[in-house]
Amino acid sequence: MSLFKKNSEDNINSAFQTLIIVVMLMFVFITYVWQRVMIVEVGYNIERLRKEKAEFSRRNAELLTEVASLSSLKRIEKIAAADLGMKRPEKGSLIVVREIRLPQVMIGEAEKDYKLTKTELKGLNKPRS
Amino acid sequence: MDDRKTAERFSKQAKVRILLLAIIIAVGLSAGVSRLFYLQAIKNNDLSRIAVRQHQKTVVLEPLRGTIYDRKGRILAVNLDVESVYAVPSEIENSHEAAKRLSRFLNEDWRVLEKKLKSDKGFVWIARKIDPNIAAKIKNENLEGIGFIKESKRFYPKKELLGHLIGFAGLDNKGLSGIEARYNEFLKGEEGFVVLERDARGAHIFPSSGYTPPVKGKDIVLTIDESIQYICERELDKAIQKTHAKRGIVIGMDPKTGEILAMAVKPSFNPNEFIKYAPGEWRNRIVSDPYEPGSTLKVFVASAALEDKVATPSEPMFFGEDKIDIDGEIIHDTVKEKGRLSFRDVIKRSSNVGAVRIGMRLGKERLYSHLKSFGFGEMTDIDISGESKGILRQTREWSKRSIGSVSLGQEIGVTPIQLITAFSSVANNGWMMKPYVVSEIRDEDRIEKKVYPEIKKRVISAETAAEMTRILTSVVEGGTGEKAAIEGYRVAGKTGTAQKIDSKTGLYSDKYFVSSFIGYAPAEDPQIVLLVVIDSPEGAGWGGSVAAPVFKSIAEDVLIYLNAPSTNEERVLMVNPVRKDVPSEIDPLTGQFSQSFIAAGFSNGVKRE
Repeated sequence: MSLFKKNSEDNINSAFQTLIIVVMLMFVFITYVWQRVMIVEVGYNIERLRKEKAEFSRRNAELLTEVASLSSLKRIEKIAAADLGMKRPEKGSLIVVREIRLPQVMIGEAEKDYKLTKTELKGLNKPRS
Repeated sequence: MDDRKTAERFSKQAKVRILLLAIIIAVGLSAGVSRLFYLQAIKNNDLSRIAVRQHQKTVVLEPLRGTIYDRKGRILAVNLDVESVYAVPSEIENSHEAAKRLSRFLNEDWRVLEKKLKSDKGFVWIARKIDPNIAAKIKNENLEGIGFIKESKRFYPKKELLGHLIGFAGLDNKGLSGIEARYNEFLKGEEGFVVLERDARGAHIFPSSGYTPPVKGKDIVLTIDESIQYICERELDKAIQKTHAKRGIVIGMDPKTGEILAMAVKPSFNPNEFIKYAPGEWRNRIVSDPYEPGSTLKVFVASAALEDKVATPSEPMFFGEDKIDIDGEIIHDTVKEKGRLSFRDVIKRSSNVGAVRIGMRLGKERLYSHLKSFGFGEMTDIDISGESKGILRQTREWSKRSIGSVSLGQEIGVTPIQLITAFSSVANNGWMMKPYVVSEIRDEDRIEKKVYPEIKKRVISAETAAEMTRILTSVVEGGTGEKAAIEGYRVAGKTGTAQKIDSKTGLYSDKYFVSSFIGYAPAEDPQIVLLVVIDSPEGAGWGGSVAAPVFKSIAEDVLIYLNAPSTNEERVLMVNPVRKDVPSEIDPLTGQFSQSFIAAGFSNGVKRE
């Protein structure tokens, strides 16, 4: 009787072990398949984004080129003269106003009057590049 | 008994059948195993290759060619993705109809297209790198067997502007002319590749087993300023139109650095459509074509004489004669002056006799040596391909007349780049700078190579250069170059009128001239040197009346653009107006200084210097 019982327990244990092994193998297999599916899906996404990026880059280059074409000085001058009725400044109507260095004698006054620091005055007196 | 026999017979038959079945199975299995062995062991490599070919595709990734910018970062050449049209002839049912419909958009004979569409090849190009609008129209036609591929095409947004300097790149994005060819190694970049896996529907899955990204070409920054270039081209166009000249060039250079600021060659060509022009029209004549400079060469003869102290500026060099005899060879003068002319006035009035006399004072060896020192007869080494070294013959090859001819700018061939480089050394206190057009090579935002100004040598002393500036200023202030004078600026320059050789007679022509003017401004602190050369203008063709006004028109605008100090400008102290702690100095409506500023010592709003 006990021998039969022992055999029966062994069989149950053995079946249980087999089941666990089968489940584990299935888990590993499903995980592997799931990973593969995810990789492929992410791959598709990357490919779609890559295409999108390439399209944006292409469009950006197109727009930059369009800006370069539209800012052609020949075109601007033509529009200014023909469409906007602009003309070149006549003699005497163009006055060039130029920044000059602050005379040395005035540095003290400027420092006092405008509360400019020495560093600011130095910047002010920087020669033109 | 019968039953036993029957049973035995059946048993025998069954055995035979079983045996037969076993044999069939064995043969079938053997065949299967053999086939497997054949596929797996013998044909393994070939079949693997076919499978890889079906599942994977290696795509070459074309690199983006570097961009070319002007000195202020304005785009001059850039790459764009455009469509190319191809056909799969086997998929086209009615090639005649397809060819006719394609020819409407592609400006190509339908018969040529039909021949392509009937080809027995699997793939044929129909048109490459076409206009996007045309591509869109063809797409709308939905033609069977016609497909599109994106390819990178070089595009020059400023069209004709700077065409000769920039040059162009061909269909394969290889630089073929100009900067595009010279700097192709930097601009071209490196190809990349990607191995793409394809699914059952042919869609790409990324990433795959291999991906090497393409490396974008380096960007090039030129010393050219687009605004100055435009002004030069605009004024040159006007001059050529007005004088009906054959061609013309203008070149602008910063004498202190050797940077080329503008380089205009007319007739121009559009690099976007280079194929429409004859190859001769692509040539950058500024570096490749020597010409006889005429009187502009007198500047160097005079500089040499002053440098070697064989003459003084006030010394008489012309005594009212209209010709000079050099060992029986007669050279005529165009100056009709009865009295004497000093050395200074010889240059101011551009006297031939006076210039010959200065040349003879120097002697042929010293004259040759100085001209060589100014860089004539050798290349300037500017970074543009196709440079000519011009023509400066050895003195042993000179005839009796040569010393006179060379002193007048004949019997010598100079390229415009040689002339402006030499002249710039006079403007730059005697220092000759190496001319260059590329200032930076960039890798994305990083400067990979920066080109700095390079001193070639000292050609004349600072004293000689200063004296020459005084003499050249007198040319514009009352001399032959009066029409180059600009209000508010002192200009130093020299005119040139060179007779061209008549190809029929082989003699100097009385009808065709090369008119030129070379000068710099402001004379006391030169910001730019400009050379204007007009080839075969209609009429007398004097440099002073044809080229000098062009110089004036260009320099007037360029000097304001460059913010060059003028003698008649209003000079005021400007304090940064956006600063809140500093009072606004000038009332925008009245143009007067604010009270606080007047209190600071500026009594009249505007202070003149």
